[in-house]
Amino acid sequence: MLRPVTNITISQNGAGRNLVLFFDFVTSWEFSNNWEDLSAKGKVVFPKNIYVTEQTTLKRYPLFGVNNNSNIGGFNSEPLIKRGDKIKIEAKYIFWDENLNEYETKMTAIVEGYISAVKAGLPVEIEFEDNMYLLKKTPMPNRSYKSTQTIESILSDALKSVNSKYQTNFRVNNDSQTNVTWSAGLLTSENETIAQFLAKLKRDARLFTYFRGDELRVGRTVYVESEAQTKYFEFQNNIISADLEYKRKDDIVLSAVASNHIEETVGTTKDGKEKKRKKRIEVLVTFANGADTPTWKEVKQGDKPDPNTDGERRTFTFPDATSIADLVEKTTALLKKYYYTGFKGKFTTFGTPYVQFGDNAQLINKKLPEQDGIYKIKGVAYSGGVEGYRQEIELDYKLNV
Amino acid sequence: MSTFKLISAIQSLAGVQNDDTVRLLNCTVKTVDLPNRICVVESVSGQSAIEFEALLQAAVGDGLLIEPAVGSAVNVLFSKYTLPTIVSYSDVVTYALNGDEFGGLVKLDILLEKINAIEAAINKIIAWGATVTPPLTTVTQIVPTNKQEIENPTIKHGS
Repeated sequence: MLRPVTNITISQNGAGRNLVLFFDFVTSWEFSNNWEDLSAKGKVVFPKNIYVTEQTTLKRYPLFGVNNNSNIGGFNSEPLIKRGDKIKIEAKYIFWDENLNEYETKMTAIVEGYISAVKAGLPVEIEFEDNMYLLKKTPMPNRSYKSTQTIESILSDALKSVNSKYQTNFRVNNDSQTNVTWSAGLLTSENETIAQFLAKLKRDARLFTYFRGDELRVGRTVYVESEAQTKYFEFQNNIISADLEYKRKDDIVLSAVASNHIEETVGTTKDGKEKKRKKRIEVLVTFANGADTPTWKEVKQGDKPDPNTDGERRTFTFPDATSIADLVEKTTALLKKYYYTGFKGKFTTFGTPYVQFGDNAQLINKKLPEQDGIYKIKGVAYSGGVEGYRQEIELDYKLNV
Repeated sequence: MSTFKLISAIQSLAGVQNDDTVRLLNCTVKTVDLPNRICVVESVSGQSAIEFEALLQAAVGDGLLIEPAVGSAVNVLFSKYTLPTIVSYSDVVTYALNGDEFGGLVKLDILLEKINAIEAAINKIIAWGATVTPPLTTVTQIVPTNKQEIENPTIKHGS
């Protein structure tokens, strides 16, 4: 039997608020983390009658219920828990062998973030977010950035104000250098927060951003392979339930329309400058019939791509594609990841082995070994409390094809 | 379903996915880089005063190139997926139509004065030639050119 242990530490934040509240019991908590959403969010529901221990004085505070003077909402005076306070959730298992010797798994920090809302109702429910919460509270400078400046350097500048305002140590991962050369609208911030600026990049340029610890990652490549760990999950064993669909490559038709607009030199102007012309390049790339290489067709100016009559059609813009061949290569690389015989979907497992998105899940099915495979993890929804510690793992694509 | 997927699905259903949003900003010209067909402007209208580069032409070429005066007002189209482009000007330093190798446009009134002076001088010679014996010429007097004959009134210019 596995007994889950959840430790929640809430550190008060702000002038005159320096209590560190520790909970070793909770009704339920959940935390969802994936790279598609700008911020990773979660919530904690406390029991109706609970005391909290302050860590420096070891004084116990009734959270609410038995003591009318407890003040979770802060309606009459300074509340115990407030929006902006830091929160840390750690979890582990305790288990016993047949001789009742006690063991425990490693305590894992699931999330360190900030409380974004304290619900007024009962039982007490608090919502929290990861470090992105502070970026939602910090304005970007009103300015337009040059297209030659990388997104990473723009964000590095922006994070300086967050670090000085909140005494944090946020930094941008500079492994990638990302340019958006064809738009000034995207690179202009006007009366918006850093998070709104990032949301714009995600919505309009498909540039995803997420925090891993104190590191802000941005760019067209989401995963950092050097830190990916592979963990084993077995059907009829530690996979509790699955919402997975096993599909054969032959049954899948996967296509994408990819485009970009490029500037090409078409001669010399009368004053000796390179004469430029804008040109739209567009291709339709299709994987079908189990083939390892796709078929592709250039969509000429004024034409429309062939209609999608079968399968899944995606639309991509590659701002760094310079030619039709380049466009085909980039689209093929992206589509090929999702064109495989294997699982799509998500499954639920125990809290251990602990995984994060970007890690790899090796799925093992001893009854149907042909379904074995290693998959990239796209997102994990963690949950815990009196009903047990769980991870719902969403698969992105298969690695060993 | 992630929030992003949900937003994308709603945008797709509403038909606004990858839609461009265009704004018109009134700006002041700060600097002009004519060879590269760009100028730096500062917005006057809009949410805040921001400085950015705006295109003088759709792409570097010979077509119509208008050099705005530094400090003058311009209207700039600003969108998500294209670079900002100037669409109207308050004060202009130079215009170039398909390059500048033929020089500037003719100043009509001055040219007309010169033509009329030449015509008057020729008419004098013709009149004098008719008085000598034998007459020097039989050419008739030139009718002085007037402005309406040589002006295209739909395109005007000033200094």
